Amino acid sequence: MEKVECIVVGGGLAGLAAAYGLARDGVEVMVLERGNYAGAKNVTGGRLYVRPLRRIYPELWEEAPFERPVVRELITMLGDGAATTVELASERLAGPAPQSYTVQRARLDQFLADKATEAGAMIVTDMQADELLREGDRVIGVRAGDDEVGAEVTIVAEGVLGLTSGAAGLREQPRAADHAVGFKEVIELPAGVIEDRWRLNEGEGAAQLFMGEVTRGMTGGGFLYTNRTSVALGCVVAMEQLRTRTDGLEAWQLLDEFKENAQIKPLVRGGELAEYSAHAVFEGGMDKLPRPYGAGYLLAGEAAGFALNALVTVRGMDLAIASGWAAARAALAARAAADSSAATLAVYESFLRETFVMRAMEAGRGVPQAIENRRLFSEYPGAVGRFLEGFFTVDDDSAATLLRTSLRGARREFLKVETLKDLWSLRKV
Amino acid sequence: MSEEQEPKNAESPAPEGVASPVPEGSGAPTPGSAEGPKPGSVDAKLGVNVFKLDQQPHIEIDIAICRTVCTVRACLQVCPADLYAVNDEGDMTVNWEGCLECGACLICCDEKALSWHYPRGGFGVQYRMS
Repeated sequence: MEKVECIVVGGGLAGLAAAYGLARDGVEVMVLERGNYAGAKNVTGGRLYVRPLRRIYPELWEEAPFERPVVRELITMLGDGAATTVELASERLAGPAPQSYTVQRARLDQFLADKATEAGAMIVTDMQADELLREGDRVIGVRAGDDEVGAEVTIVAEGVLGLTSGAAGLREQPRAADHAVGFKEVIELPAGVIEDRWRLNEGEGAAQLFMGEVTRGMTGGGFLYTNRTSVALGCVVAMEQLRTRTDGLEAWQLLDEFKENAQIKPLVRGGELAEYSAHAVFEGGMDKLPRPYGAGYLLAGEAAGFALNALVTVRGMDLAIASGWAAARAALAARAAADSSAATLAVYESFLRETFVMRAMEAGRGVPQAIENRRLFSEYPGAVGRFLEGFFTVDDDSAATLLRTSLRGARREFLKVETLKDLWSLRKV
Repeated sequence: MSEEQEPKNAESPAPEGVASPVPEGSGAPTPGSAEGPKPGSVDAKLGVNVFKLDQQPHIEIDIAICRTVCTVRACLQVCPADLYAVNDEGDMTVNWEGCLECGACLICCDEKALSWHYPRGGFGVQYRMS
């Protein structure tokens, strides 16, 4: 059996970040990527939080092919015929080191693949790892078609479905209750049109999230990210809630409805569809994470459950890159000790804590329970709109002062035990 | 413009055939179904994607399970590409060529009626942007 020091299953951001870190330190590393090129199988909603990554591989982010820095954040609540948007434009979002950028995976992943290759990693495309090879409890390499390749450490960065790690019993099979399905259209629009519609200076970007009617009250929402010459428009919806509906609603219909929404239609008017993509998203949180290491292997990225939907911020790619970095550190520690047992590779967890990955997952521990509450998505987006409408409505009730309107509206919409309890449940988000 | 933006379906190598799974104007080739393109369906969306089609399906359905055990047919609801359909004989079918490889159907099929793998290396959807 052919042998290399490290094998990485999957040339997405986690796998490539690991390969880059390993190759840079002189480790012989081979990445198996099933797509025609890195990024060919990868889907993001659209935004990478770069700020937490600046200490990890700082040299990469200056030249990475990002789309636009996000300088304008919008959250739109849709319900009961009303749309309420909260908008934040802040110089602290942008500045010389912007917090986040919109990205396209085909470009970003190929950039990172090029960097890993320059550093000495071997990236094999069109090659799928079919099975993790085991010897007792130890992972000793992978089988790809008729080929077997052995490795001291196998870094499994195969994505959310975890097909090979699941089959090998290193993690559980994904469950509908812990996942959402996201799907989006990439719609081409001229740069100037994007900048006009979102009131951006040249080159700047916006991110807009939508709650409420988009998912017909199910946990999830809509999103829109501005790329350089396109926008990504999509929906995410909790699988369990979708599949247990009795009205036969099909996922894809949500996006068609969303696009037809009076609030959305003018945003994408004149745009041309360029791609349609979909992705499962892990939303099980900290308590459902598998142990990310064992004899001869490490799990990184979504294969390890590193994804976090905290309603206002949706993260995955930053966690993937940081976990890839941590996996490389752990594999280097195993190499230095000439021992890739579970006990040695357990150092992966301290590297994960050293970065922000585990802190972020821990901070988000309460999120899965909180967002299961459907009132967040069915009732409140409409209630907020009705409440505000009170202020803008002119009728024959001339005695209504602003104070009376707000008290009356608050009593009607929000001052209920249930609402206060829901608000309390959000403290952990 | 991103640098790898090519004309749609430009990579077309003759033997494998990069193709939309939806031949233009003919609607989805849903096995066992004589229906044309459904209005407002995702056929047109899949048509802009680049697919490298394999000869062999990467999703196989144990239709006996769908027929006798499954009562919910979650696959019909959760597939963002709308690839699942019930044919005239009442059997579940999947138009696997247009698969976006998200795995929602696999995750949601409690009855384990699906034999689901990724397409072989080099095949299946090749996202140019996402």
